[in-house]
Amino acid sequence: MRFVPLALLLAVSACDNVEDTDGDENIEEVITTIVLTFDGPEGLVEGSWADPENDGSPVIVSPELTANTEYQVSVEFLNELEDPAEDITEEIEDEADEHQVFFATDATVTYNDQDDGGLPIGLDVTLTTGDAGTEDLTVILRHLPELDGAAQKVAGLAEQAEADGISSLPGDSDAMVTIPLTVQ
Amino acid sequence: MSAALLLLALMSNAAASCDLVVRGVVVDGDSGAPVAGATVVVGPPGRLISVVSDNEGHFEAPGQCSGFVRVAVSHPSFHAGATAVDAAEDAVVQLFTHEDHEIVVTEEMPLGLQDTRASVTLTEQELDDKRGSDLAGTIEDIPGVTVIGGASSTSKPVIRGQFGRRLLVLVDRVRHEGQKWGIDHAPEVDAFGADEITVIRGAAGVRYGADAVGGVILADPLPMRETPGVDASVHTVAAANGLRGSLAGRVDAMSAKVPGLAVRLSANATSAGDQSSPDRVLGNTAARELNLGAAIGYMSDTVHARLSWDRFTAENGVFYGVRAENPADFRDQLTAEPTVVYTAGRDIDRPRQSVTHDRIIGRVGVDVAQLGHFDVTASYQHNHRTEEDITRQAASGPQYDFTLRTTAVDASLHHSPMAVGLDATLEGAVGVTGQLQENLYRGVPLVPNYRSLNGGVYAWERLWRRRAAVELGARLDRTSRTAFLTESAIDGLDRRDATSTCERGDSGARCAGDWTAGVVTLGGLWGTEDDVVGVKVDLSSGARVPSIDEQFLGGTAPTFPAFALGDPSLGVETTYTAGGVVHLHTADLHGEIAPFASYVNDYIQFAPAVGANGQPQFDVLSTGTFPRFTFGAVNAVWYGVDGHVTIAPDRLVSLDLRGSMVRGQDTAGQPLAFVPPDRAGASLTAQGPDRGAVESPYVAFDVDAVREQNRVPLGDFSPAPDGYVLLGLRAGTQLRLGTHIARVSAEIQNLGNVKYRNYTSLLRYYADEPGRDALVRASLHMHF
Repeated sequence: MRFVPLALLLAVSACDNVEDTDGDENIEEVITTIVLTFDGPEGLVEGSWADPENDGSPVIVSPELTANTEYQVSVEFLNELEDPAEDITEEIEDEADEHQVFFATDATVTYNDQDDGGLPIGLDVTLTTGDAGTEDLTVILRHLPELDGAAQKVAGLAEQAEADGISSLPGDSDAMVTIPLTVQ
Repeated sequence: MSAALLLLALMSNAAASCDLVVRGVVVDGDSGAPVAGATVVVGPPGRLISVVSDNEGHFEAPGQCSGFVRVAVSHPSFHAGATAVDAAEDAVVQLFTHEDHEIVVTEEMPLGLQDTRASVTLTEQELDDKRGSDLAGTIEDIPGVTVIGGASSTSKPVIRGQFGRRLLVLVDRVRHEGQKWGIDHAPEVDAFGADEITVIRGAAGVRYGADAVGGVILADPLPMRETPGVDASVHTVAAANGLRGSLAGRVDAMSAKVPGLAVRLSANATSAGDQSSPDRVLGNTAARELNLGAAIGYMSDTVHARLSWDRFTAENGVFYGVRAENPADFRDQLTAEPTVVYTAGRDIDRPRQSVTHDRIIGRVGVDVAQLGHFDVTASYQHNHRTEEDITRQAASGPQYDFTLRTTAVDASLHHSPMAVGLDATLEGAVGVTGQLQENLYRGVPLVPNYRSLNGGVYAWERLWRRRAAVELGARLDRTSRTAFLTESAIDGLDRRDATSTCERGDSGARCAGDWTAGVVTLGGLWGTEDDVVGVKVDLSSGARVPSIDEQFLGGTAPTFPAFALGDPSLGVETTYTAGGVVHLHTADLHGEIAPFASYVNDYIQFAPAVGANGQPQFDVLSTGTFPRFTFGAVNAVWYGVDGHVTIAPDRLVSLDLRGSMVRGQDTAGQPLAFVPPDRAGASLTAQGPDRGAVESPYVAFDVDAVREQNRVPLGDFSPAPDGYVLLGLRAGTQLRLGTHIARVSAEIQNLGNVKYRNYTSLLRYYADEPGRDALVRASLHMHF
């Protein structure tokens, strides 16, 4: 609780112009855009989910992949409300001990990256497609901060999510988007 | 000795201008016995006549002019009192003493008929028994009043189902301006700063503003000292649930060297840890509040001037269990048994909200001979609210940052009562108001910046004849508001084809709107000669301008898992209300019952959006799929009844029964959201006799029952919670220590530690309400 002297308060108030709508809004924390880059036999293929105005009208780009093929997938999270867009992926890497990306899909996903504690992060994974068809890939960024001094990010969460669903996990979902995969 | 002195002044009905005789009788307000030897001073300044009451308490002051005359009474064994009475009208004037031997005068017609609506005033003594509650909690025992709780320890008052935008809070007679649209935005009002709270139920738009649809809460500080001396008061409150503690102090002084110049300083602090429901700690519901105030006043016989400043600061944790940012998480926790066990503490972590509210008021009141009382009030309010979500560590600031600046001027003339014909009096006022308001918002897209200008004129007149009065009032407001939308907000509006009058600029857009809104009221009062029965009727129509959120809200709130969308094309909401009150006042029974009904044309409601195919609509954000809630206009009907009755009010044992019922639905019969469920309560009070310094000791047992709300709109996330019954136990007394007064009380709330959820509380989606609580209060009022 700051105590701003009264005169200062009035002076400060006078400076903030309500007509200024493109100022430094400093909108932190919002994830508007998720980009998946698939590295496979056909080179780099991109799939994305983007709602740059954060108003519930996303544009989804479905990647075209080959059946029964292994892809190295990198996952990026962006905040496009900021100009230029803020790359939130770096923050997730920095705080990897309390974040994990989960994938709900019929394809097979294995984690390639680890945090300092040896637990998976999920920004770099291997995805192996199944037979041809269309299948959904749901990407969930789970925030697992310490609770009452105890870590919520522990081993076996991906297996738990697969067995009992995402809702069985501790923490909160920072992002949860579904991108259809077109497998040929 | 009695704390209240009842002065019965019986006026002559002579019509000539200055040959009236003011006659009266001075009686002990408690025992009813006449008081002999009281000095009664009657008349306008400069023409005072001093008389002494005889053995029957009678007095007679000849040579009075028609109109209001001041009547002051003093006696060595009683507190002095003063009031103004109308020399053309029979009147009963009740004087309530303050311990400082100053008087707060409530000029009252019999049976509290001074307002044409249902109204209740909580005095200092009653407020002392509720210290430590917030504003909403302080008044929630009044029939017709309920609270809407957030997901922290804050709450908002509700009167007859109306809250936020349709309910006015006036602090020191200045409209309180905060972000009142948010369900978890409690009014930023220091409850310790109020020495008298009046709750008016029913539309009161003429005097207070067109948005006083549901009612008005007047939180008034103690008047400044009028005589040299020093008053000091200290309040302490300790509560077991959450280990809450409050300490409040105030000093009022006037120096004998500079008579007329009074000063006041006040401060109070509250600290609360995490609260607990009957079987669970509500993690992160700790709270802190710090309030400061200072005032300087000058008064002479004809001029009252005052400059005051107060600051409210609060920091509230939001329950950790609130997981509304992601609808899937939210739905999962609605049915799942809570698995996380929180430990109680005093830290306030994210998610949390912080508010600072500064209020500066300057007021000058002048009595102008032959004309009346002229009053000008200028005020500035600065409301700064920040809300912080659980974030990555890299995000250090708030996600929602609101600044609301309000500058207002109000000038009114309350004209002197005028004789009409032989035995009627006309009393009334005219006024003008002006307000400039600016909202500055930074953060996750939610509401736009705006600038709003409002001007209003109003007048009301009341014609009195014996025990009956008719009141007519009208008000006209003009509001001009420009919203400044960001680029992404206007893009979003365009995508939804939302009709709007927006002008695009280099970055973003300006959306301007102008509205004219009128209020008309017609009221009547009538009381029997013996004061046993009183009746009030009030008819009014009022128009409310759509608020900024109703037009332009766009986004998700941290505590409610919906995607909210305003509608820029919304128009004025018009309410037609009829209300009545019947009072009964006998030796064995005090009571009142107040029915009401209103029809609202283009009632603006917040409800789940349904598409053309009849299916609910959703918006997909990166955090999940949110049900879309929109503001839309429907025609609606509200009706209900509230009231109370006290049986054997002045006996050793008395019983108080109270209840309230309100219904709100659209004209198709679909219930409106957040309508409080029916409730009934009873209090059995045993009052002991005064013994030495101990005055008015009491012990009371309370039962409060709330029905399940079975009229709920479609689209609620979970069914309405079950009804519940809560028990309470209270005891207290007043101690007179020379010129000082102390009040102590103890209370146990929710005696049975019942698990319950409140339909009008956001917490109901996440957890049970806090369980049993034990409170101890002590107040000391010192006079030097």
